[in-house]
Amino acid sequence: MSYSVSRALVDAFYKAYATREADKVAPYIHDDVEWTISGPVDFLPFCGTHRGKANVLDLIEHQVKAVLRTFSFVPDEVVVDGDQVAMLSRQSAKRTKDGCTVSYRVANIMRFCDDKVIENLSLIDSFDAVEQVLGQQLTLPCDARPDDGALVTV
Amino acid sequence: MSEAVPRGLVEAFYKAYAARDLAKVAEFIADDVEWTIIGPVDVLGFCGTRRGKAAALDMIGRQISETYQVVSFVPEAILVDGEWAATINRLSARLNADGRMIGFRLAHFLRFRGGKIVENQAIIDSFDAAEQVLGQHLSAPCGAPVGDGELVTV
Repeated sequence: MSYSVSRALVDAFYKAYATREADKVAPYIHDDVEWTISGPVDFLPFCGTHRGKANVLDLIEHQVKAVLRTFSFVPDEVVVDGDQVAMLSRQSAKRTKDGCTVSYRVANIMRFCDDKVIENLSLIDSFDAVEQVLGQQLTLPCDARPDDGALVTV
Repeated sequence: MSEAVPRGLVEAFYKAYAARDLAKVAEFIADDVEWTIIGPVDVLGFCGTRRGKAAALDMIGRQISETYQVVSFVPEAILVDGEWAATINRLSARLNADGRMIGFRLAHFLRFRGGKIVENQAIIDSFDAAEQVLGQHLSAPCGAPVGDGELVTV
């Protein structure tokens, strides 16, 4: 029978993940993990694909602690199906530099193996995240206007 | 206790949605649906929340056909858990205005009731989507620091 991750383990994982403490998160991360965050690397350096447990733990703990004073991670929805998990969450942080609060939505689509995360894809509202990190609105092309016919759908 | 949605029903919805068969899509949408696309409303006009079946179908159908043609919409993973389904998808489309191709991944979090969708929350890499729709790279305001250690986490 194929592997299925339990909801209890998923709950334990995201509670550990919310702490952003490597020693608490580490037991849930597979050695061969591939952790991808979709977003503009030029503005949000953490975006891209991080391979291997050490790299992922470094991302989660060290880079974050260097810049964030507080953190909140609240899953609104958690969908568990076999070895896959999808979470839609709201994340909040206070920038160490100036205390400005950053808050945006994120979806984590994960695959577990042997009760550890072996694959993660994070989709964030990256436009919002970039503007909040910069503390300013992005500069748009001068002819870019709302409702000008440029539309995609999801 | 809430009613579990059958996987076959979710798959049937996505078959209709991928084909942009609006008549069939309508069969899966509840009259009181709340359809939210997380993203910058002032840049991507389709973002925001639409309430009611007519508004949701208008967004899915009319606005799309006026602006682009979907080349493909491929669910890469479909998770089903009780009344919830979550999907990760890859969309490709051709903009009507200039024939440019756009493509990105998106996640849906759908809640069903009585075999119909009563809630959808969609999340995309909105920075990437905005750049593709606008056809230009977005830039930081003059003087805005980029890559200086400010970091949020996902």
